[in-house]
Amino acid sequence: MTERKTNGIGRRGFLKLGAAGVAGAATIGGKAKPAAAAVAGGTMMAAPLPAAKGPRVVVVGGGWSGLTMAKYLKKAKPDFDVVLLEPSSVFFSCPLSNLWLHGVVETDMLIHSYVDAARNNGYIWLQAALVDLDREKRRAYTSLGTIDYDYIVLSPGIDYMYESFGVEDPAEQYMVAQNWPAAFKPASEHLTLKGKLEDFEEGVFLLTVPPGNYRCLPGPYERACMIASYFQKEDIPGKVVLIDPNEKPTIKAEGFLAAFEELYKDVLEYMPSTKIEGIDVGKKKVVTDFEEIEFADAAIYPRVRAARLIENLGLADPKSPQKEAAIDPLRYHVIGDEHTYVAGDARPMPFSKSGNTANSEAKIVARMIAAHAEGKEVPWQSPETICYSAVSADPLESIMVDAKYKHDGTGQGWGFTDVVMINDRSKDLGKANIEWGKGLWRDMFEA
Amino acid sequence: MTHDLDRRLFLKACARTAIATAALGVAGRPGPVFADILDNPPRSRLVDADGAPIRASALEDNQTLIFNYPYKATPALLIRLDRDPAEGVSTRDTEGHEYVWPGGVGPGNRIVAYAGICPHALSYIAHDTAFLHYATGPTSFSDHDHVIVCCAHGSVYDPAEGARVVAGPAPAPLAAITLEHDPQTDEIYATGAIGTELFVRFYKAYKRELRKEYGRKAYKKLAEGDVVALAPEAYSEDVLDC
Repeated sequence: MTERKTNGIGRRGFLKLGAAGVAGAATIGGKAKPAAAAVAGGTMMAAPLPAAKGPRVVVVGGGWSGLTMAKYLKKAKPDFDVVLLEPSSVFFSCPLSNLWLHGVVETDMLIHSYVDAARNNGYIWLQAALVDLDREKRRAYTSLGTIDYDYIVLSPGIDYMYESFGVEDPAEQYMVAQNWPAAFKPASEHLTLKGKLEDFEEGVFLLTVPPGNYRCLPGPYERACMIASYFQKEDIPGKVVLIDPNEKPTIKAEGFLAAFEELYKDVLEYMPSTKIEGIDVGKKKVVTDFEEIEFADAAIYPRVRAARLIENLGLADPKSPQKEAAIDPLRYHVIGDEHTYVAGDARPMPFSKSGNTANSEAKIVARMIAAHAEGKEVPWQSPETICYSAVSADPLESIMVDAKYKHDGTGQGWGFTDVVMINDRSKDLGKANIEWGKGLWRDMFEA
Repeated sequence: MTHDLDRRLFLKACARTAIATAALGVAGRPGPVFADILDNPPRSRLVDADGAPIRASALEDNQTLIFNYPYKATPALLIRLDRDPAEGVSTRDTEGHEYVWPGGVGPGNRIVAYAGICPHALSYIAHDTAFLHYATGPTSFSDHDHVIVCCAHGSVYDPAEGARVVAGPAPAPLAAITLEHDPQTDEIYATGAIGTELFVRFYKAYKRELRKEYGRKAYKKLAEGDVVALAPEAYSEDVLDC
């Protein structure tokens, strides 16, 4: 184990905590993976990191959850030695990307530097991916070597489940994924989609809303508005078809339906209560429970699941249809292991899988981990989902929702609380929409 | 006198931490850590666009004015409340450091001022767009009235209670700007700021923009001489209503 200096709880305190954690891990027996070292044939070197200056916390994933987590872990307990693992070379924001697709905001607004985030906030960014985990030894196996840690937080986000469309064959799944990427996992999918819009000639541009709880509830509806508006602006003889298994938009329904009707009647067809049962990849057709729809191009958004990493580490709840993590829903740690946490879109709680939710949640989880390291506990707090959606591009007009969550005491039954819903689109909300993004990027990347 | 903001504030913060740590060592348990106040703050008389002093007794109920203080590029919001402000409000800044809000000045102590910068994500009252404003009626984000609202993420503050957060994600009140009222002349002076870590964050986040707007040297200087206080609509091209 690396030599550590701790000035907060002292080395003895640290060792005591460590022992308690091992006992905790032991109770879950076979769940920790003894075979981890086999990944590297037992020869994996330590990752190129300076010696830890305090209890080391590894944060896995540089999205909205992980970036906020890394910063606020340092704020909550300055002697934490925080390492953020993120293999991408640059951050690309999914929030506000629909406005960017239309051209309302430029690319440089969405991209940010992991170097800036780390240096401005006192942690280390290691451009590596987590490969495996030995939770008993508290050793992370990464693409750049091993890291011994005191706490690990997994914020790996989502993956797609193409089988939800009845597309089972991996070869066909790749055809769908590469020909019509969903563009809800940045950034290549987004760049491809923007190129598609610029190249679009005529016909149907198909968009889909996934079933279940998916990343960015209003995203598909907002995107339908932005693409429809783009077609109007560029005078493209195209039509957006939005297929939705739900009876109405899953959020801000009134605001979206008003925009569809009042702004995009001729260029947008909304098909609620329509389930996709198959995709004919060769003929560019989707089969719904009512009919077959041909499309010229598409962004097909399947059901989402917790990132495969969660399942690969043995942390997915076998009962979860979206393979989300098995964690204490109020404390965020893996059941029986108070040194492994999961936050962000891989969580099992039915919160909105959104940037603001992940950002506000990470601040709470960071405080919980800091408190745990000091032998304390902080009360549960609700994350907050503040979410703007642009429905008109010129002029920019948005609608919004702001909500928190409440639970039934066990962390099982969840509901919304303190809900503010503004369905009347306005220019002021349009400006606030952009500032919302800028503010949260500032929070994650700057001071 | 140095105008190097970063250095001044960082030194100040370090000094505070040192004092707090020393106290901790002696007492054996954590004592309060007090919010930073600005060293040698400018004493700035508030004037209108023509340079005439703002007279406290001429301000109307709920009238608000925006002026740049304590730095040339940091906006502050003055409000003539239509009610008596709370007294002795004890609160904490974004760093968790304690302070007692000094309250208002002028007739009935009803004139109060705060930094026009939201401590949540640093949205602020800019010349092109004001993301914060004072609302006398209920707002989109809460049923509270007579509040300062940040439209970016919906933080709501009560200016009669030291800008206590009444709704939204803000972790701390708006930084307090201290005022003085000269009863002889009826003039108002801005005399200091509490919770100055906010300005360090503000300058870090907006350095590039502020340098463009105020010039490479001027952008982080302290206010000098009289400062012009304008109605929100005169200060900003667009004041968001939310």
